[in-house]
Amino acid sequence: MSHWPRWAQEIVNYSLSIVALLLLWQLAHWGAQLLFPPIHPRFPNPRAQILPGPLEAFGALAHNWRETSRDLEASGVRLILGLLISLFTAAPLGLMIGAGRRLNGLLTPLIYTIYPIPKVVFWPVLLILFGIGENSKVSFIVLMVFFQILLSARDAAQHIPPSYVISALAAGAKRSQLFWHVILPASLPEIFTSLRVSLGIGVAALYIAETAIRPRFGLAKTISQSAFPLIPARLYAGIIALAFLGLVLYIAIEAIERFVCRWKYL
Amino acid sequence: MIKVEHLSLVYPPRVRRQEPVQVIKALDLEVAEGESVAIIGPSGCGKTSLLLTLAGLRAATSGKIVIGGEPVRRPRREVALILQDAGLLPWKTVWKNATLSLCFHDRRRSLPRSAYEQVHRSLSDLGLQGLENRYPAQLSGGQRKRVAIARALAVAPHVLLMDEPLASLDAFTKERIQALILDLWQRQHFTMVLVTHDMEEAAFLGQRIIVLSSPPAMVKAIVDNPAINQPQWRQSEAYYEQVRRVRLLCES
Repeated sequence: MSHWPRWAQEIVNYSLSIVALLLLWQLAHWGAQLLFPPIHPRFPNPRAQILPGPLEAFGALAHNWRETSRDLEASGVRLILGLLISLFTAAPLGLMIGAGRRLNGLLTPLIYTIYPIPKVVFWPVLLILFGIGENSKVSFIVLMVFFQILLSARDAAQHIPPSYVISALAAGAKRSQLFWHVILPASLPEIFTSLRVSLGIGVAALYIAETAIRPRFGLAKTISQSAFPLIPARLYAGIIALAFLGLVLYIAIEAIERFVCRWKYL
Repeated sequence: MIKVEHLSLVYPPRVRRQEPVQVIKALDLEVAEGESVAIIGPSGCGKTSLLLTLAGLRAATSGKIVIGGEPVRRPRREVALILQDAGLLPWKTVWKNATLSLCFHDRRRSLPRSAYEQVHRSLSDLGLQGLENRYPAQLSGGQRKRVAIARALAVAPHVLLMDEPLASLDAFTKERIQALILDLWQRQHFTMVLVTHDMEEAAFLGQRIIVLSSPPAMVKAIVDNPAINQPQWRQSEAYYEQVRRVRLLCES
C-alpha cells in the first residue's frame, strides 16, 4: 500500500476505521441485547433499547434525511462561523502578544485571569447582548474557542527559533516584514493544531448553545429532542450527523494545513 | 573599513541574584577594506556576540563600531550575515530564501531585474541550479549552507560576516565550501569576517587570524597569514605551519 497515492491511503484508513467502529457498535448492541433480555415478550428492556444497532440508527438518519440535512447545514454554519471568527481575531492577537515583550507583559495577566473562568457563565450575558437568535450562539462558540487559539498563537510566537528572526533581521526585515515572513509562517503549524483542538470545544459549545435556546434547525436541538422523550434510533442518527460534521471539518482543516504548511510534510 | 573601538558587551542577569555576564571587554579591532579576518577562540568567549554586534543586531554596552565610516546602530544592507545553522526559513523555497534580502529591500518593487538575475547566477555558481523550487528540508547540509551564502551575496555586500558557517558539515563538504568562499572573496572583493573554532578553517580563510581569550573576550594574539591567495595553499607546508601556530596560541 506504500506505493499508493496519499489520498488513496487516507481513504482506505478512514474506511477501515469507520468499519471497525461500526463493528464495535454492532457488537455492543448485541451485547446489550444479551445482557438485558426483554422483561416480557411484548415489552423490550429499556436498558437494551438505549443502544440500537448501527443499521437502525442509519435507517432513522435516512428516514429523516431532509430535516437532518437542514440541521446539519444550520449547525455547520454556526460552527464554521464561530471557528473562523475566533481564528481571525485570536491568532493575529496571540502572535502580536507573543512577539512583543511589552504587549505580552501587559496582556498576559489579563488573559490568565479570564482564561480559567468557565465561559458558560457568560451565556446569559451573551443572550442579553445578542438576543436568542444566531448571534448569541455563534458568539458563544467564539468565546469558548477564542482563548484556546490565542494562547497557542502566543506560545508559538514566543518559541520561534531565534536563528529565523536573526537571519531575517540581518537580511533587512522591518517589523511588519518580520511578522509576515517569519512570525506568522513559523507559528502556523501550532495555530492549526489549536484549531483542531478548538473544533472539539466548538462542537461542545454548539451543543450547549443549541440545547439552551433551541433554534428551528440544529443537530443539538434534534439530539436533545430525541433524548426526552427517548427515541433511541433518532438520537443516534443525530449523533452520527454531528460526528459527520466534525469529521468533515477535521479533514478540511488538515487539507488546508497540508496546503498552507506543505514545507512541514516533506 | 571596520573599526571596533574599546567594545564591551555585558549581558544583564537572566535570573535574579545572578551576576551580569561580561562577554567582551574593551576590544579593539580594525579590518581593512577587502581583507579577510578569521576570529578564533574558545567556546563561549563572545565570538558570536561580537559578530551580532558588528551586524547591528545587538547593542554594545560601551565602545563603538564603525563600518564604512558610519557607526553601526542597526542592520545595514551592505553588511551580510551567515549564521551557524544557515538560518534558512523552512517555509520558503531555495529561490525565496536566496532572494530574501532583496525582497526586504525591494518593498516598492523598484530593484532592477538584473539584481534577481544576479541571484540566479549566484545559485548556478554555487551548484544550486535546478533546486530553486525545493524547500530547505529537501536539501543536504552542504546545499543549505550554499543557499545561505547565495542569500548573503544577493545584496552584493561590502562586508560578509560568518558565524561558524561550516560547523556540522563533513570534512569533504566543508573543504569544498571553504574553497568556494575563498574563490567568491577573491572575485567579489568584499571584506570578510569569519568566526570559527576550527583552526584549519581559520588558517585557510583568514589573512589575519585573531585569537581571542577566554571570556570576557580580549585579543590574545594576532597571526598574519597573507599567503591564502596562493594556489594550492591548503597543500603547502606554510599552511600546516600556520595551523600549528594557531593551535599553540589557542592552547597557551
